[in-house]
Amino acid sequence: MRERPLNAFVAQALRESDRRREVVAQAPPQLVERRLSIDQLASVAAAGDVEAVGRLYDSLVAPIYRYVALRVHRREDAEDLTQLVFERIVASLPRYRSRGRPFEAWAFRIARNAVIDHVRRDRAHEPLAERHDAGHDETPDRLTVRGEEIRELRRAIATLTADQQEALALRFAAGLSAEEAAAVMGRHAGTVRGLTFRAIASLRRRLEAEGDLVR
Amino acid sequence: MTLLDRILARGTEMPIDPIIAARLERHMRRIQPDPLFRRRLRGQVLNRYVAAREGLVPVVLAPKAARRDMGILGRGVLYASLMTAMGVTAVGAASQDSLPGDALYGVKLHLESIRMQIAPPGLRDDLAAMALDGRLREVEALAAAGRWALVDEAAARAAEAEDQLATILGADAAANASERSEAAKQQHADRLTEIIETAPLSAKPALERALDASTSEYPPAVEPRAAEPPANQPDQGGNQKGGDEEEGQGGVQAEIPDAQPAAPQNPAPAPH
Repeated sequence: MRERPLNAFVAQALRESDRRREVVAQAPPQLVERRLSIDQLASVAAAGDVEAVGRLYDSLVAPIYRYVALRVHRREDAEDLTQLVFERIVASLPRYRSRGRPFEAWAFRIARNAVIDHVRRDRAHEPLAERHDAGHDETPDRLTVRGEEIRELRRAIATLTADQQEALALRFAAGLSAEEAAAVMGRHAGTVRGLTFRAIASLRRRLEAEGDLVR
Repeated sequence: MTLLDRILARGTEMPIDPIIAARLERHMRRIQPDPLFRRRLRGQVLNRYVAAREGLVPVVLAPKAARRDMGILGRGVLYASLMTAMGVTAVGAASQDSLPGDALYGVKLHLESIRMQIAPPGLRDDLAAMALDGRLREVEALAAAGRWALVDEAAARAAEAEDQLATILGADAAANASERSEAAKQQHADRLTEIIETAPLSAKPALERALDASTSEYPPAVEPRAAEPPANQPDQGGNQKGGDEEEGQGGVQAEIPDAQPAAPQNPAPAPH
């Protein structure tokens, strides 16, 4: 196929571009600074600034995709739901008012509702494809090792309660603080911390029992 | 931090197993959207945002959000409009039975005036006939209630209604006469005649004016014209079927019946 090299070239260029943009967007290490930046972007975007919408998308697309992918397990579903979430965000953005709540919490609440609706509609999930978890820059050998480790971890996560999985997804996949995750889940921050703590303890016990923790 | 938070979390920070946390973070970092998907979705999001901002496409909302679309103010205006419409309708309906001197009588006349103004020209004679019928009924109702002081005003309105009907009908009045109209007119004439006999002297002039209005040569009730037979014509050639009977009725119309019984063939009152 003559188009394959071109596609590969374009994909490589896009990856480089996205990586640079992601480095810029996620460079601030302090969560507070990043959150304030996103809240400010949201205010500007709500006022009609297209560039702010683009930067907001760049900042949120990866966390939202990770959160969705961890919950629905299929790449196609994760992409469809991510698209749906951003459609809803864009539709609701002109009416967004901060009222002291972080924009990320508002956006992830939309994502959470979309995931819940999807799970209700389609409870039969296929196992996550290996390439779903694979980084785009890993070699085949590393992919094999990583794939096995990922499958172990996924099996362990699947044994957690729904709330524990939700807390893990919001804290580790979406990168939210306990307070932000609590706002998304409609719980207290302490409850989210407790769920996270118990989830990790449960994962450790399970991985230890399977002898997988040394890796 | 709330008490519940302190109880559940035992502090702001909880010790998290670093090995598991590191593995989780490593695992999560590798979950990335496909670059092509990411780029394509970015274009779609921006295009959709610009289109919605410029009003090129309607903003599609989830059903739950759509229900919340109307704010408190909008809902208030809607309810107020509904209440107003219901109130106006209720008042309009209630006014239809009002009599001169009642609070809603002005509303009744106003509604009739509006109805006359917005009606097509072909229906205005019918509305005028209905108005005259209504005024005569009011005279009769006031007399039956013993409200003689208001009979004069009601009789004047009946005369005005009769004038209006005469103006609208003009020279075609004879062609609009019908059997049902005649029966209704006859009923009014009979009732008014009976009322005049027992009415106080002060009310008799007004009742006689109303009687004049009821005995005019114009029909006070509505009748579909397509089904009407030819009006009473002078039987010049003697070829008209039933001409003798119609001539007899015409004779009754020409003058006020003195002691004729109420028309038994059509006891139903004219619509109003």
